[in-house]
Amino acid sequence: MSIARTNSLSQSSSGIPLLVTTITSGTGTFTPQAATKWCKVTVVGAGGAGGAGGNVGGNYSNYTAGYGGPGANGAFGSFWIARATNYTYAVGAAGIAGVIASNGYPTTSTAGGTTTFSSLTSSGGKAGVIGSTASTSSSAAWPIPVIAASSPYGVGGDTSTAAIGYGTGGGPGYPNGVGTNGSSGLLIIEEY
Amino acid sequence: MRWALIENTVVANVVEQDSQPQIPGVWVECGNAGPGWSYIGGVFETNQPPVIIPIPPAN
Repeated sequence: MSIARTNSLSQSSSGIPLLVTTITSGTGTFTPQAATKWCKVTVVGAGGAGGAGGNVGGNYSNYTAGYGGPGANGAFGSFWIARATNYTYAVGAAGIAGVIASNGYPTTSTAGGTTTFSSLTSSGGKAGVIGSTASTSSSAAWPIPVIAASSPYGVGGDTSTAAIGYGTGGGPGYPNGVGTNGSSGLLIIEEY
Repeated sequence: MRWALIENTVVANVVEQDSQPQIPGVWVECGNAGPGWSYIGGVFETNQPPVIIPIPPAN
């Protein structure tokens, strides 16, 4: 679990939060300060993992493979809520990239987890799709995959490169290779 | 480690932390399982068939 809290010397009446808490993983119960009247809560779902590329080994040696799909970013939003005694929260885990299974075929990547703060919810991003294969006799051309989806808090992964920050999608897998994990969700609680 | 929130034999959410979550819900260590997977008889399985990129039309 990762929690960071930053105190402000200013009063809430100045428009600057009394305290800012950033949570990047785990679950728990959040208790605002006694002086807090309002909380601005930013809720970011985790990013989905990139899909694995099509496989051209083994039984697929006469085929040409395509790239996997990029992972999607998690949903996000900011909300004002009146102070309560405490709130339960959960920060969504990053989507995990699939692997090349023993039969040579890529397995499914997973979606990102949902981030919640009391009744506030931001869903995780979907996983990228698996790349396919086509016979080498085909003149089909595989599309170049796009960079995985970014969020306001990070950059999505490029082909088989990692997602950066929070709430971003994992990079798509190249032919015969796996994609990368998404990034975790995020909670920012500003107390006024 | 990753923990899955189980609702009606389905993984409703996944979080990552060192110990089992103490907030309400049924939380089970889940390895690489993800949201939407089934959890039946202590086994996680993806019940979502893999989505495969369609073959593009030939030129």
